[in-house]
Amino acid sequence: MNEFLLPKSIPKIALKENLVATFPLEEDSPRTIHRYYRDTFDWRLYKKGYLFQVDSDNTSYELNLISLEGEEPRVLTMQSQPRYIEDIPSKIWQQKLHGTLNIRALMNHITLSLRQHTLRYVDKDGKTVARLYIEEARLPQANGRMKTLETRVRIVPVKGYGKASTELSKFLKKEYKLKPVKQPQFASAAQAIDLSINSYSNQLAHPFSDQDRTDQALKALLLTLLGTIEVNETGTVEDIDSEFLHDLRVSVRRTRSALSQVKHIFPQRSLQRFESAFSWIGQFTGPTRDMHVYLLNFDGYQAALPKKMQAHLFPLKDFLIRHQKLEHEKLVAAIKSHRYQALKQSWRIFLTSPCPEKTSLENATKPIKETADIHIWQAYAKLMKRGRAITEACPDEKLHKLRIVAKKLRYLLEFFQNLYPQKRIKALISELKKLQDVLGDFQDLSVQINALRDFEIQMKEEGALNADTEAAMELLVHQLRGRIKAQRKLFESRFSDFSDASMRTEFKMLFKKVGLNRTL
Amino acid sequence: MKVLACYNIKGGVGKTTTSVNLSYICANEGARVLVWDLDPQGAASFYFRIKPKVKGGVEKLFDKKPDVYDAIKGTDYLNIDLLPADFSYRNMDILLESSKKPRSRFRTILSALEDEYDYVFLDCPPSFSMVSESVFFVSDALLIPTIPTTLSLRTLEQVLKYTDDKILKKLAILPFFSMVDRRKNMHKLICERPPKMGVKFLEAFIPYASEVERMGIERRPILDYAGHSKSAKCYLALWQEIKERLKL
Ligand SMILES: Nc1ncnc2c1ncn2[C@@H]1O[C@H](COP(=O)(O)OP(=O)(O)OP(=O)(O)O)[C@@H](O)[C@H]1O
Ligand SMILES: [Mg+2]
Repeated sequence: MNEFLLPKSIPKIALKENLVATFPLEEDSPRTIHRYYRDTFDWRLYKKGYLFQVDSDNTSYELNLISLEGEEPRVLTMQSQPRYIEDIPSKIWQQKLHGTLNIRALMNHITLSLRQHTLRYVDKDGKTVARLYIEEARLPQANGRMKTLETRVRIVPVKGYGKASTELSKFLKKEYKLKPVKQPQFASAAQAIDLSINSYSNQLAHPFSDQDRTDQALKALLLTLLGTIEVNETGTVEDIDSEFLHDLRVSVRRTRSALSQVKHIFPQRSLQRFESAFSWIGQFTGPTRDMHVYLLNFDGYQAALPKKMQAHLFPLKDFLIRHQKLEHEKLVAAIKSHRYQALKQSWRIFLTSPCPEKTSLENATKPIKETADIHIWQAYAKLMKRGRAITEACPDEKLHKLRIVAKKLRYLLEFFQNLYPQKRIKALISELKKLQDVLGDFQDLSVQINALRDFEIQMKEEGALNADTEAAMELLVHQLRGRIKAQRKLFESRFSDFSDASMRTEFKMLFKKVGLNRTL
Repeated sequence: MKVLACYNIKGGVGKTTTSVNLSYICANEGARVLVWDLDPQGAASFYFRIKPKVKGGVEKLFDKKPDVYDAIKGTDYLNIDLLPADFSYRNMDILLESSKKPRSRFRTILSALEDEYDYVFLDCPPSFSMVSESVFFVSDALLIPTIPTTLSLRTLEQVLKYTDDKILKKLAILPFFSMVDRRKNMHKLICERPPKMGVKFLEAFIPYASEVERMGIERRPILDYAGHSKSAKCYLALWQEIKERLKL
């Protein structure tokens, strides 16, 4: 990195004068800009080894994709602050970031105020062949005070003109004994404000081991789920991207699944109250999530239509955006409500209060491993039984029910995976996932068909449905119907993969208790 | 990556001026842009204040696995790079003639840059040759500045004849009027009723203007020194229309 720390002993005016006297440099007038270090909420770029740095004077935005692993940095200027991948006009950049950002938004993790002095190395044709920046950066700390970072001198070569920048850095090294700095400015800034590059993941943590009491282990598990719910609240309320709400809802569903499946562990009375409370959260977050899903699907819907009809679908998008906003407002009100806050508080109190040493609840004090074995085995048995009962002639409803059974098994496997050999349990989860994918897609398609139908009715009522749009939506429904049939066919083969002999043996070996002798 | 060539058999019609200004506009929209100055005279390189020199010359670019990115220079504009002209480009034709697969040469060079640029503007020399044929094969569109005179229209007919080839089905041909002087009767007549030649002239045109000429002194795109001028607006309109026509 061609970057140096400028010690206080070297005044920048003197440095500039000396540089200008030695090299053909032109000085731009100093400017005050913002430097943003942006990334997704879960630091997807950083985890891939990149810093996404944006310099802006509020009229143009200079994007720098800086590799922490020595790749050449990429630079792009644009006219606005990009939030999603699609906001970046360059397809090349989009391709580069695709697969990392996906649908997550970029947000500011660090914002620096920068006083920037620019010296341009200009050749005899008047062309800039290198740039030298002296940058004084400040950033607000938690206590509200501004923290000043060490002044940096940054030399940026122009492609194909390495010589000029080399001359400049040699000069700094020789005349001022400056040493290139290893730590990027981002790291100093992060340190200055104690920013923890969060290790957020919606994967489950497993805060227990084999012999722990079931009630204690479960409380620990539920507590981490509560943590995930809370961590995603701000992003959900600010609607930064749709993943916050999605992850929040996943944690709610996991919580509900744990509560409903594992019985005789907690006192029934307290449980009922929480069960209905979490069901309420599931409900009030649902409509916004639906709108998110349809907005995410929109491009695909449009692409599936014949070219001529594609534009006719835009009224649907407007409708979705409008209703997403309306639903989101209700959702925010609910999250901020006393009821919601009080619920969380009492839930936390329940989860953090110690479990009674003696209890009449028969499963409470069992080792968690035993509980896990039994429940996983039962869920598996149920899935097999119901799965085998599916025939070509049976109603769709049966497949929907099966999806729920499969999902319950999935949650259980995930909750308790650390109690089993990692490789083997992961393999089972991945096989189950394949089965779930067909079931999920199948369910999704019929939900989508119904929703599109509902949207048509609502749009008509709102006077937002013209004949062209209606025709486009009808065609969409027709296409989705076709796909449903294909999914149903796929189910047979996936289920037979899932239920083959080696899988059955594996489930038996991992989860079946001697004595619990139900044959499959 | 979209490849747009500024081409005409005729010289001095505004090819280079178009390459430089459109690349600037396109880059301003936030795209990564490369200008390849194919003319050994190096006018585009001159406008960007870059020496018309490629180390190793055209032979190096025609390597089996050319290190093209190495030869590229950054301009004063962050989103624009330039592959400079080189005196050796005057031998390009001969090299292409003797090459086994003349048509794939340019393709090889440009595909090495696929991950770097959204747009490549080719500033072509005024001729019909193996070079221009190569250009036709790698380009998505030919932007053909045409002066509204009967003679110019005849050269345009020649271009159309050359490019009327089944293999070039995907090549869009976009002629537009350049250096238009409304005071001249013939210019006026031709612009108002472009002749039917099987291609549609773009609506946008570039008037003859002194601020365009000034580019030679400024050595910058017009939009950088006369962003609010009429000519600047004409180039913006031209770019908009090109994007619409090519569905970019
Ligand atoms: N619209 C215009 N108004 C006035 N002068 C123009 C205009 N367009 C181009 N010129 C001037 O005409 C001359 C030729 O323009 P340019 O170099 O763009 O043409 P060209 O087709 O690239 O030429 P060549 O065939 O030599 O490469 C230049 O001096 C340029 O400044
Ligand atoms: Mg030229």
